[in-house]
Amino acid sequence: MALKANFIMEKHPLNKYVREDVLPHILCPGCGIGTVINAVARALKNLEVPPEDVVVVSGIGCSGRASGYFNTDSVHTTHGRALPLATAIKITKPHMKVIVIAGDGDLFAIGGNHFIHSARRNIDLTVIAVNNFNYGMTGGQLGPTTPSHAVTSTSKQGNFEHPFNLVHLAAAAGAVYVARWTTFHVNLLTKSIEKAISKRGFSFIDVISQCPTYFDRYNRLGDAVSALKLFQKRSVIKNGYDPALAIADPFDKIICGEFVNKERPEYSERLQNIIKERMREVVKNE
Amino acid sequence: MSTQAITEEKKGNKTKRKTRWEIVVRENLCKGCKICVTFCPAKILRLSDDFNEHGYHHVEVIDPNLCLGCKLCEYMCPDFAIFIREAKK
Amino acid sequence: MSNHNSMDSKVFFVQGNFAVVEGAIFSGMRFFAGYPITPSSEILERLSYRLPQVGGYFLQMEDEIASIMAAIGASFTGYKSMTATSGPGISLMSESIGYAIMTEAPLVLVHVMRGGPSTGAPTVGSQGDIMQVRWGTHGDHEYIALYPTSVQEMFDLTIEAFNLAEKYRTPVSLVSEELIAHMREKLIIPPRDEIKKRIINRKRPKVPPEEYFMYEVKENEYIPPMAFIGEGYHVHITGLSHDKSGFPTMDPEEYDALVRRLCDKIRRNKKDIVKYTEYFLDDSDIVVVAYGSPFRSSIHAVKDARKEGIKVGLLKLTTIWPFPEEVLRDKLSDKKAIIVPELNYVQLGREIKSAVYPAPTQFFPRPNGALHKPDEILSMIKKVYRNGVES
Repeated sequence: MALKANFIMEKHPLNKYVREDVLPHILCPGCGIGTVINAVARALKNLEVPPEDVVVVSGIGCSGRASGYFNTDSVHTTHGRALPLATAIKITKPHMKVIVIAGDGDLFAIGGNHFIHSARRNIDLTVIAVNNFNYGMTGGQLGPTTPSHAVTSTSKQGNFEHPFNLVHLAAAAGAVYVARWTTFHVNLLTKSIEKAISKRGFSFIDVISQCPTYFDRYNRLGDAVSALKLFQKRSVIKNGYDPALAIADPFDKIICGEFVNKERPEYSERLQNIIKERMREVVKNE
Repeated sequence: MSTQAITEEKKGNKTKRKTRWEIVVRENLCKGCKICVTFCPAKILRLSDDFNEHGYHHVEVIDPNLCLGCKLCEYMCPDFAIFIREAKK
Repeated sequence: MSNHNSMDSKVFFVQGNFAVVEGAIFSGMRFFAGYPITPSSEILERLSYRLPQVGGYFLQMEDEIASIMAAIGASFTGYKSMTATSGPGISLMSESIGYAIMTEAPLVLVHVMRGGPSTGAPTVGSQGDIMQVRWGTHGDHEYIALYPTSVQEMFDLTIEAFNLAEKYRTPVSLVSEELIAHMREKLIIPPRDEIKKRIINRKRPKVPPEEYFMYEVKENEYIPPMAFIGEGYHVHITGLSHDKSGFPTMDPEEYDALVRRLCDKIRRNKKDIVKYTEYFLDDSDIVVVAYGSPFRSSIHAVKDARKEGIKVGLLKLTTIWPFPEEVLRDKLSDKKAIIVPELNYVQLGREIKSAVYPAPTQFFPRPNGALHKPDEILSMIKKVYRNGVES
């Protein structure tokens, strides 16, 4: 068990949303997931959402541990299955803000089927994929977003597979808000998360993150600082760009921005209306 | 736990500007990743020679008077170890 | 079209799956997530229009795994929730069943067995999943499974399954086979006030959020009160080993205590959970132990045998897990022979054989789901009576 700080004299501005009693968290020094937790907590604070109206649902892996650090209701589910559980929570507690934080492998490999169907149904969720191009917790294996030729623990001679373009996938599946940022763009990321939380419907943000212990080390991207500098150098912001062309390759270009922001009927609202209708019919037929 | 200032005495270059911002470093939470040190636009952060209880060199402030209040360190820190607040009069 | 306000205090002639639906609705189930699979699809179909009528949520999900995870989510927001499937679906759901056990989510799984293994024989009733029900998911765990033998029992045991799930904060399987799910028989639904008296609900916290711990129990108790998502209790639910606050921990003492409590809450309460019915046990030398549809044939065979002067009895197992080892040992170990007809290639039979030792056990397996006819069981009884047990 990690050593815990027995007392923390100064309270962080986000302590309403972040659990201080279990810090420092288990994530590696410089890990982008910590920055994502920071950004999500700040977005909630800026929107002034009461913590009791928030539930954070996560999958398995390093990103999966994020839910435990929120001072709200939180659920740490099984690998790839955060979305169906989050769907049930949203449908039964429609007033709550349901935020899903999961990794690229959790959401798009094992959880890929649930992702496309949740987007298709347009459930009002905010889904944040922490995309570090590998499976970190288990030792840096290749995943569905690993760039071609990248070195991972299961592609030591270079990855011969081709990665998903997550924003394209989300847009094609029917997400109503799709954006991509990196853990370098903290201010833009926070604003984007605020928009996603406020948006009614399935919102998806692909957050490109460093993984100093595995992916970055295996591919000689240096430590957290040099990876962030790389993101800064290789990113280009193109709001409104065609998501099909918006690639995210840390060795080439990372196209950031908001790509989709549209309206579609939302699932839990429609389900509520159907229930009201059926109950009315029953009374009429008495 | 909170650090106020470690003035760069060697340079003999005491700055006079006062800032409304105060930098709070929670040393026991810092993992020495150097993200804040690198991206601070005022370049007033560095890693200390000390270790915290977890064995990391934690961040320390070179000259708190030069803090711009941009809060980039607070926003980027993965560990909630550093944040900015209004200085008390 | 039938609806909630007119279903009680009536007699119906319906199939088993229909009875499960009504039993669930009268238990207070208001969240169902499922996926079609023969022979349980009728439950999904009926609930798609019945649940909205009573203000409940019905979801057809993209697969079985999504179905059970959604049902678990709804359980934690305070709903009595359910899913229904068959063997292949339970195979898919196995990891999630373990998650429900570890997080202590009350849940009812309707498991209508069909011929296996693999795709097997979808329209054939069989009992090939008995061990899967017990051990499908990984890790140390106990499990509760009830097995109805008639359409009326499909209704009554659904209510009982919800009660056990709520009381013990665990997933409970209502196991049956295609035969019982699809056959049509008389169903009596009592007045709703009578049913209401039988309902048990999960224990709720009596302290405010600041004093509440997710999985804290008092001395000699096993089941923690359950706070829901969205009430300000800051619940943290995880499938990892956790301490009383629900936060993950790998501390060996905490992990040990957790696994023991999760198992003991069922093991130490077997007397409350186990249900069975005995017929003619007192004077019998030979006893047939049956569960599910083979019970239907056995009861006729046993009565016929007794008319011919053979002292044979019958023990019907309604609770198959936790296994009623003590009941079998106490009542049957001094008998001359035990006969176990099963629609599989011997599954519960082996457990029964160990429990009733030194009484010898005659297996009577039928892996193809062709239900034993009463006179086939009668012949077996006569054979055992004349020649003893054949190994």
